[in-house]
Amino acid sequence: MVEVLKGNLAQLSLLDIIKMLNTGRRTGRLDIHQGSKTGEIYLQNGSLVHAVTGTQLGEAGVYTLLGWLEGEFSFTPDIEAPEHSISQSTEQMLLEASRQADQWADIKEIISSTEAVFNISPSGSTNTVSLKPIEWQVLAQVNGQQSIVDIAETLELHEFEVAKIIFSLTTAGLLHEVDHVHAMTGERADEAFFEQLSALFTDVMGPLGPMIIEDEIKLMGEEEETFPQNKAAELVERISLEISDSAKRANFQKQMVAVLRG
Amino acid sequence: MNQGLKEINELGGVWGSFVCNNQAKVLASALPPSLNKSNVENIARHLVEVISTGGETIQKLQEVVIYFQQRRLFILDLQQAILVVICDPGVDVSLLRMTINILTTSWESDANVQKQLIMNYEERL
Repeated sequence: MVEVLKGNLAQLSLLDIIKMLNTGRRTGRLDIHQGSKTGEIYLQNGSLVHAVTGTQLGEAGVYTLLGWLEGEFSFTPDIEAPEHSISQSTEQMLLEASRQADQWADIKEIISSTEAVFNISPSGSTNTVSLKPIEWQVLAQVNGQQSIVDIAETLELHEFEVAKIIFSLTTAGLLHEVDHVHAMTGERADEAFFEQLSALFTDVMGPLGPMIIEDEIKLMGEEEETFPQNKAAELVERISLEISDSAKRANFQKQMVAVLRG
Repeated sequence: MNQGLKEINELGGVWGSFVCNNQAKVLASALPPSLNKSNVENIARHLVEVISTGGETIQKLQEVVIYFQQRRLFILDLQQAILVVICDPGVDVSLLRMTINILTTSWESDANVQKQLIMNYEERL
């Protein structure tokens, strides 16, 4: 079994991948992973025939997966779908997905990712706001802790649908995005930590040091600007494994453990 | 060795630590008073068994983590002995692992520690 296509959704959107497979009239299975969540989309001669993610099947599964903006995908050719759960035509679905993608572009100007966490705005809206029942349900879940993904799971809605509602509630002044790293961990690693890490690691590894750190941060699915403090020791440990000399590694760890323990 | 164990214990979430040989004889310990010698040796016996059984089936078994009731037991094979750290489940494992590595690396060049370990190792043979 040969994987012909593999990559990251941040670089190539799922919609573009499906369009490509559709044009190429490919048959096979597209596996998508986002953290602990997984999804499968089956194509037959380029047509979408089956999709599943969590409890969602068919069209609902495809739209949910199309809403995943981050994660990894791989396409394995020549795998037949175990069942056919999609009745809508692929052209129709791709058209709807393109429309959603355009809306996503607007939403992304306010919502950084589906992992973003929102809270009720203390100042509230200056205008009268009327809410639909579904908007009220979403609003009731917003607590400064749950991400869009979490809310979608709780309410069994598409991430896109929840993001759209949160977008409109935010533009109405009812909600504001909180720093999700702060919400989950309390604080982020400060600049001084990265400065010391980079200086000490460069001492051991030479000029490639900062690049290794940058790669490791990416592999951990983080960014330096928002890197959580509670992952700082893990980062130090991971990059220290790049030091082959055990005495030098222990010495580097000793200096960094002193930094971490303040 | 006792001083090194005290350093491990200074980490947040660490409850206590000890080093024992493969016959469950405790060589050094820094444990809360609630754990008496017979309790510790009893724990040590079970852990030595886990390490030796694991070592027979898994080549180069160096590190074992056991979740036991409300605690996490972090066990490291030091060749001549085993180091056991008792901690809370929420302990920063990376920080703990690095602290242990710093300590065990320093033990490798510490003549007193080596003497203590080798003497116990020879006693066993």
